[in-house]
Amino acid sequence: MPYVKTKDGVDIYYEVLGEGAPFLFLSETACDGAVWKIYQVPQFARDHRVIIFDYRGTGLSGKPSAKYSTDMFADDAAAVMDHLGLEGAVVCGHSMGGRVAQLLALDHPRKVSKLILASSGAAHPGETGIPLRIAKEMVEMGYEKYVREHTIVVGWTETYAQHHMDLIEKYLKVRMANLCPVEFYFRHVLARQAHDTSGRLKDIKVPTLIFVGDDDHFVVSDLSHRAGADILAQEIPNSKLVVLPGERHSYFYTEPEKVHGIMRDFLQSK
Amino acid sequence: MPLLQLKDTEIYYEVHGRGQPIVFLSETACDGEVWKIHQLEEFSRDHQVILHDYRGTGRSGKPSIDYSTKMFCDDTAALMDHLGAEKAIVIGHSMGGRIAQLLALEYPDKVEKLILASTGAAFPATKGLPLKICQEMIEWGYERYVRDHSILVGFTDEFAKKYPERVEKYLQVRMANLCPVEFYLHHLIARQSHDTTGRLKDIRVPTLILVGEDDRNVTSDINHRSSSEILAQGIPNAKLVVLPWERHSYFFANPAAAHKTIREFIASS
Repeated sequence: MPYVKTKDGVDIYYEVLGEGAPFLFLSETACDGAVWKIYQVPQFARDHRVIIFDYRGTGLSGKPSAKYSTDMFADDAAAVMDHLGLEGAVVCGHSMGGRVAQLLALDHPRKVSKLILASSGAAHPGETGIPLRIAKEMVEMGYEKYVREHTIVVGWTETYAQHHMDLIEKYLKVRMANLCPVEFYFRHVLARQAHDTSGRLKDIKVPTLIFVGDDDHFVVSDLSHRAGADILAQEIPNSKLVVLPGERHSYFYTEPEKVHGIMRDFLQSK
Repeated sequence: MPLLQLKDTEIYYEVHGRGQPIVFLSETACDGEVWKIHQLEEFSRDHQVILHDYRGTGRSGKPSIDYSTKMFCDDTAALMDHLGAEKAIVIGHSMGGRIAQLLALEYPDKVEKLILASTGAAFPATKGLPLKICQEMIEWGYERYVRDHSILVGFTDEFAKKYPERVEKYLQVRMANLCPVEFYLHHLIARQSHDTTGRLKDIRVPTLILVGEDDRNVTSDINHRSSSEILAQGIPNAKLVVLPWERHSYFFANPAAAHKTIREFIASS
């Protein structure tokens, strides 16, 4: 199995699929890279070299019991690209992955040609620790049930969930298959809450596509993704905001055709 | 039931005995009942003993808002006003000792002597919910976490083995009216944010600092044994007494040595 060893000795599991210009995908909080295999890998590996990997603390990667940060995740992504000898990738980050993508563009600019920031943000200004609501619900519901239910509530509108539970279940099977131990879920939450690129967005120079569902108003700590996306669009100079009607957080995994066309257009644009 | 109505919640309290008031302040997310196991009988003989349930615990109101040790301190001061209690002996255990420090700083007329038991001034490295606590609560379940954590932190292995019935008697009271997990977490955040480090020098009243010699469990970043040393160095008129063989919960299973030390401290001039 393909691994890269980072400078601090952590084994990062990665996969490379297809041929063409490099295309890196970055998952949401405490989520491994397998979720991209449902729709995005088959779609984009036809004409790209698609790179997915498992963040430290998730999937098949190493899980050191230490403090994590989005800087560290960005450095891990850069280490995978260095190992493969790749530069100038399209980088698509979902939720926390979008935060990691911003840092990759800022601190490893040669690695990034275009950014796609999906359902993401620059900071959680009001809450830097573990949000009480997350801890409370995990204690009350149990960890696995929390991740499952939280994924559904945040991911899709009630109407959508009523009519398309089969599509949601197909996603959940992959999402829950290799769920990381709760310790690492929290280490990821802490990394996400501490992330702050607010003052640096103006320095992101690459063309940037910003996605967000028009109904992504759920607030786990202090700022919804809908509001977070507006801030990104205002601050990143060369950015374009696309609001997806009727969607919440997880359109990639159930309604890929809604976004793949927009992504294709963005890839072709100058 | 005696309830004090405050602006945003109500506080359950009890008063027993007559004499100079003694206010007892419990540990994190713990109501006032635990003081009835041993301290109430001992001190209500010649004192007015004042117990209450913190907001978020026991029979007090449980507003779903951010809590702070300053808020708990203000609640205690409001209760003392209500009772006309002044110049009290204030005994605070663990988080209660943090509140006791604030009471002496913010309401100096209300405090004649302080007893800071198994406590500290700050958790410098961990603001917010400690990961280890969240993880253990989820993996073990909330009630089992509080129970097992209370035993591990509270008593040496030798003591728990030799006197299981004393430990059980305490746990029966501690677990009887356990607050919903939301309020345990609100209390934890209040405790972790507390910081009186720079103000210890302004605590002017005679202060007795008690700590178990073996109180070295670390849930976030500093143990009670070390934080008691910081209190003893920072508070001008303080005396540190280290209780041999004890961990965190000597008040509730092995109170004799602590009572004797407290009695001597109250009698001293």
